[in-house]
Amino acid sequence: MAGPEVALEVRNLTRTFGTRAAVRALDLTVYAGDVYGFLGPNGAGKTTAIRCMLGLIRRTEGDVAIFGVRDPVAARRAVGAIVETPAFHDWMSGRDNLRIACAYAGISSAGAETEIARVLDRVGLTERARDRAGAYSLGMRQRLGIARALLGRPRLLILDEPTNGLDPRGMREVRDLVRSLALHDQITIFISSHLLAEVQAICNRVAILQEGRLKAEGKVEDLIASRQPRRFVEVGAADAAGLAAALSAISGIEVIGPGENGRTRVALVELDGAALNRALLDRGVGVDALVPETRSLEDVFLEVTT
Amino acid sequence: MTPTLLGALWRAETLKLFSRGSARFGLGIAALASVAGVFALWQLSGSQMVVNGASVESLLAESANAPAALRWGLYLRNFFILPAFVILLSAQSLAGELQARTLREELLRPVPRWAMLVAKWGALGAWIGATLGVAWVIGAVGGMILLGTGGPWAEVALGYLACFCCDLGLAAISLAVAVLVHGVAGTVVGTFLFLVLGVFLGWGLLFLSWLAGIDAVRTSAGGLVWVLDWVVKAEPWLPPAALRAWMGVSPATDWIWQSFASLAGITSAALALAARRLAGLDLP
Ligand SMILES: Nc1ncnc2c1ncn2[C@@H]1O[C@H](COP(=O)(O)OP(=O)(O)OP(=O)(O)O)[C@@H](O)[C@H]1O
Ligand SMILES: [Mg+2]
Repeated sequence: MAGPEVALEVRNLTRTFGTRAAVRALDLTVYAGDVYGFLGPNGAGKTTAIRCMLGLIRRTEGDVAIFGVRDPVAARRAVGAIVETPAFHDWMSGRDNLRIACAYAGISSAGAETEIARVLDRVGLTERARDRAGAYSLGMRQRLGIARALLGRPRLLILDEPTNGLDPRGMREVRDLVRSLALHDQITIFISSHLLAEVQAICNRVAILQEGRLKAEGKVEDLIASRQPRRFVEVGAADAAGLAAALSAISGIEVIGPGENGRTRVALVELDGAALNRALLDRGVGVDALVPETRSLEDVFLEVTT
Repeated sequence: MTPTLLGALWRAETLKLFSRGSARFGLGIAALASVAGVFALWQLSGSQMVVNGASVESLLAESANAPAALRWGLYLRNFFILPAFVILLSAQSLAGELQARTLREELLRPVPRWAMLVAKWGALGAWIGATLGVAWVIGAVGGMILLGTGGPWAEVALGYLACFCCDLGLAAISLAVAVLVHGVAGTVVGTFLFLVLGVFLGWGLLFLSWLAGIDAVRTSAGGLVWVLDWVVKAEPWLPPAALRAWMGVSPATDWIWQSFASLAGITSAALALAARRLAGLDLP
């Protein structure tokens, strides 16, 4: 056995609707233990790809294996999933909804009640479990959806925009929950989201999709580093005129333009930040701020998907 | 897919179905129809009304007993009301769930789609059985108290059993329509159209049998006269006749084996069609 175990393997996945291809020749590999971000603008094909992986819709072409299992029915044994907005039997209680899900998950009726108590507790819905699902708020429905996905202790969790429509606290709760599921329960997570700061905070690898095609894939820090040919800093000084004069005189940098809070944005071509600071001091400019510009996943995303 | 798992799915679908408002309402209607059957027979059997020179009481004297009350209850149940509920509940449990996207949630699990279909059909069977069971208990107890215990118990019991099979067939047809049209209203209308089409076909055959009785037609049909004779015999095989197979319970009607055979065929074909189409369906 070489290398880590593969949780989800997608090869040449293609799905067309009529003449339009929603997903084109998609290749993905998610390893066990990954928290994998699946990104892309609206209509990129994320949900379509997820539906194909779960066997909800037909694939035009391609193969999907989950922990090495290719048969879609058998493969779903290891998976819990939320696709878009979770749907419930609204006239039934949250608990009864989970009871039905237990039957479909193959959990024996003897084990069902403890399993339901466990997942309700995990998402903090125990107190409202007797209420009609139709009376739940959006955030509660999202949490009930996660609870349902957790039934039967899946090894892979596929979450399609789980924070969609949640308030800031709700988003934070879902993020913390996902992180804890990955760290504490050792569940591999495949998550699609538009919240790039969240993704950057919790994912170790990401794929960026556009118009059904894979545009970038890899470790978050590698993606950011590889797409950063130049580094930038923002320099601020009380004596703005002196700063401008000094900057134009220093070689090995390039002045880009105004930055935030009256600072000046500078590209470091040959100098590094410390050398620039020294050069400015030598010219009698008192630097009161030297802010290195860190690039984010959002920058990478915007570059890749233009 | 093991029998245990299938049983668990059936229980889950039954729990779901019986918690629907429409299913509970339908059960209430079934009970009411049975009460009405007993009550109507009891009232008429004591009536002094005169029809064609004989009192209604004397006309009914032979047949006013508990099984007859059950039979009346079955007629009342089946003339339109309960079959409409069977169609509606089938539509809700498949097309409704497709629209509400809860079908997708259940099929995210390691369960083949045909197993879900069978579980839903079985749950509808449980509901149909419950409506008949409730009606039987009410009709039997009420009838024995008000009208006496004698009568054709076995034949009426057979009628209830036949009705169970007929409604299961109707449920299978509705499920197949639901997979084809994907909407609750569409399923109700589609199933109804299917039945109406069957009735029209029946009328067409009636017309043919009338033609077949005319000598001039027979001679001009020449060598094809056997086709006429054969087509005429198809009537008991048509869907409306199959779904009316329970009518053999009536003292005026025989049990028609062709209709039962056709019912079995139609039910299996509908389920097979539904399973096939469901397997290839893109779930939203
Ligand atoms: N059932 C369908 N029939 C026709 N076209 C479809 C269908 N489902 C999706 N599409 C098309 O496929 C493309 C991808 O849609 P998809 O929902 O997968 O995007 P997405 O990446 O999930 O977008 P979002 O971020 O908005 O959720 C879109 O152009 C969409 O119109
Ligand atoms: Mg989507």
